[in-house]
Amino acid sequence: MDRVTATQSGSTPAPQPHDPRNLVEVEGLKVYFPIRSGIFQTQVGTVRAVDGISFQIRRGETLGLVGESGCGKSTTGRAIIRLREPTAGSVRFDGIDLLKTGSADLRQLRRRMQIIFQDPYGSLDPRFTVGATIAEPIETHDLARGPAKLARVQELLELVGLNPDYVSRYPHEFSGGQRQRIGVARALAVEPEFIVCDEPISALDVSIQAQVLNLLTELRAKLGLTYLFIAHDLSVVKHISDRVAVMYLGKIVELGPPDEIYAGPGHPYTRALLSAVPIPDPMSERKRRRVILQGDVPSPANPPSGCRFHTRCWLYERMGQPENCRFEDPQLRVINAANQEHGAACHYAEEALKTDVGVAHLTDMHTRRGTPAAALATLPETAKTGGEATQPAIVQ
Amino acid sequence: MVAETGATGEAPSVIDLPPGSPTATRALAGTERTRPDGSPAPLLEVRNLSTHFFTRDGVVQAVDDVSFELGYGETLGLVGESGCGKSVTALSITRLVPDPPGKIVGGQITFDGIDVLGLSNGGMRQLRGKEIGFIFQDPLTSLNPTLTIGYQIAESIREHLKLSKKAADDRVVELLGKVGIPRARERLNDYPHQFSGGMRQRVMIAIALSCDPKLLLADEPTTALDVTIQAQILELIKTLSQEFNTAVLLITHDLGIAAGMCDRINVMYAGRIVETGTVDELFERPRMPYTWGLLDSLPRLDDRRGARLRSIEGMPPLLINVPDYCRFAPRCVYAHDVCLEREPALSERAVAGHQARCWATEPKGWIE
Repeated sequence: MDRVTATQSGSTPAPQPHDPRNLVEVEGLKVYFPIRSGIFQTQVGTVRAVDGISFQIRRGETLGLVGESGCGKSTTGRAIIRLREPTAGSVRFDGIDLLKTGSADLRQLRRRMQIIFQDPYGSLDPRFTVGATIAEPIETHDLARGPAKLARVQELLELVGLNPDYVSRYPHEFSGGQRQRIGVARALAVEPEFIVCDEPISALDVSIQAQVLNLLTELRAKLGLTYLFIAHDLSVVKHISDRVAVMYLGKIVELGPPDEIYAGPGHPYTRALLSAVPIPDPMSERKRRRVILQGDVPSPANPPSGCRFHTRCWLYERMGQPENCRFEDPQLRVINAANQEHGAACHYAEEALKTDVGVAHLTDMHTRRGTPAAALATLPETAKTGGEATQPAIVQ
Repeated sequence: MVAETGATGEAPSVIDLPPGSPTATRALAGTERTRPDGSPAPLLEVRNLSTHFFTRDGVVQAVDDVSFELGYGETLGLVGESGCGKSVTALSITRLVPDPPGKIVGGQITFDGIDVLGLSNGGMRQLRGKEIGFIFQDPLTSLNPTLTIGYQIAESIREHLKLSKKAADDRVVELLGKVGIPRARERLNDYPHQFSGGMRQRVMIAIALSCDPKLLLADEPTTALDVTIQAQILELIKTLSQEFNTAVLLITHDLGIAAGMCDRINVMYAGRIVETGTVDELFERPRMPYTWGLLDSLPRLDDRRGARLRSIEGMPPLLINVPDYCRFAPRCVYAHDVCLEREPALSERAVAGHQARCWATEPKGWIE
């Protein structure tokens, strides 16, 4: 059974025992940033970017982390691999508490966890050749030297679908999609088990997004990787994830398998998010009824009391503004006995489940339109599934 | 007739323009013009537009022989990936292409009966902001950080509608209310940085609609915004354009947004329109492999999970020395020899108004 019932508040006195099926175990994670002001930079407040969240990532799975900007999803991803120092809580990687690990040991552990960044333009050093970029982590961890190192770099380029002869080229010679492949190759250079993918396709064009998504899926299968996939696009997260966590203002508000969450979201915020996603189909679009959220996301420096979503919640209004929404912080809990994997942090999740608010247009799944069957019929069998993702693209 | 109205003192305010000047003609003829054959003329007509950029590396044919029409009150989508020429098309319509290196090298643009490319700079300024409103992708860089938003919205109202400061302020408050900014009067003296991204885009919409334009150019208006804010902004554009009967040219790379907003869609690839049709026709029976690829590449919320996406391999061509055959052929899995020899024309398909540029789906092509 999954521990969706795990408490969200920071006061977790008895840590859960390590479950060997989990690669990453996060408990009561908090990341606060000080707000400083004036010439003496005195602290005048605290941004609670991540405010007490708990979840596990199982070996070999992809956990999708979605939410709007500022909800703390990227901070969570970075805190897990200690690129950001957490304020409180614990992060265990393969049973080892990362927050209690010294720098030498941490360095060893970092080999096993990597990150892919959103911006394929900003994350590569323009003065480094592709070969040098990918070789750097190999050198840092002293994994190979001399000709073996070059061979390894070329092998990695091939693995991500780039021409191995590109080793001596510079980042500016590549398109966004290819740079993202280089970023993936660099992450894979140290043979990690776990990769934090921080919005890896958000900056790419539609057709290139699909290429990179397919690449990540194939690599996961081929190398047995575990991903934390951070994105704001719910369709992409649904596509790639085994389980999805929805964040709002530093908290996880819903967690579970995507089909489950997208068919019957237990949290009113999840429903609002789903209802806002445009669907590339005019018929579904006409059926889509958006859940209107009042106002903007509140500041994480001064989050609302009780349930953080109550200031914008449609269900809160519908339930007649119940008091516990204002005063009690709801915990993530199983909302449907039939599925222990699916949890939501809402006092009235059962009420949300009774409605079809936000997902009415998603219920009847129809065959998707795109390439017509008549066109597919003209293709050889191998090409029907979508060509080869590893085909090297041409650099002009 | 003009003399008559003049004599009775009911002359419209544009009467002092020379009779026959485009604006005067329109004012007298009502909002909708007709063609010689009596059919309604479109608000915007773009004929064989070519906009090239003359760079050190060569001539970039960003927009090449693009033709389309946009009716009064209609919403037309220009859909394509970055570099396909959709934004340059919009910039060409308003003659805002940076020159140098860009230049409109050919074609004709008629807006509301006015020959846009023949207009003086002064005439063009009259058009921009008044008859044509803009919303750009990034509201933060489109607004001046040193001026209050009240001033920035009132600026075009006072310039184009010649209202007094007081009357302009009232109009600004009314507009801000319309775009959903609470406590509008108190916020007149706020600066852009005091607004969130979604609120800034609302301010941009208020500016764009301030002079009751006939055409709204929305270039990726929600790309920088979160999905819930995006939905709010799109809905706002939709309601307001209906309320004011404003035509919208919506530029987007997101087929989902196009599906929900547009009456018709032009798909662009490598500087060319490759498919055009009504939104239903285009999604129901797309007739161009690039459109298929775009539709197939998208993970969808209403999909079953786990299926591999059929992506388009390769990359769009550089628009320097573009081939004289089908520009999509090098990435197209359905291409035959002819595709690499000659470029197909944008030609009608089964349903009138649905056109595609593809040898394979032409009546004698190899894909039915």
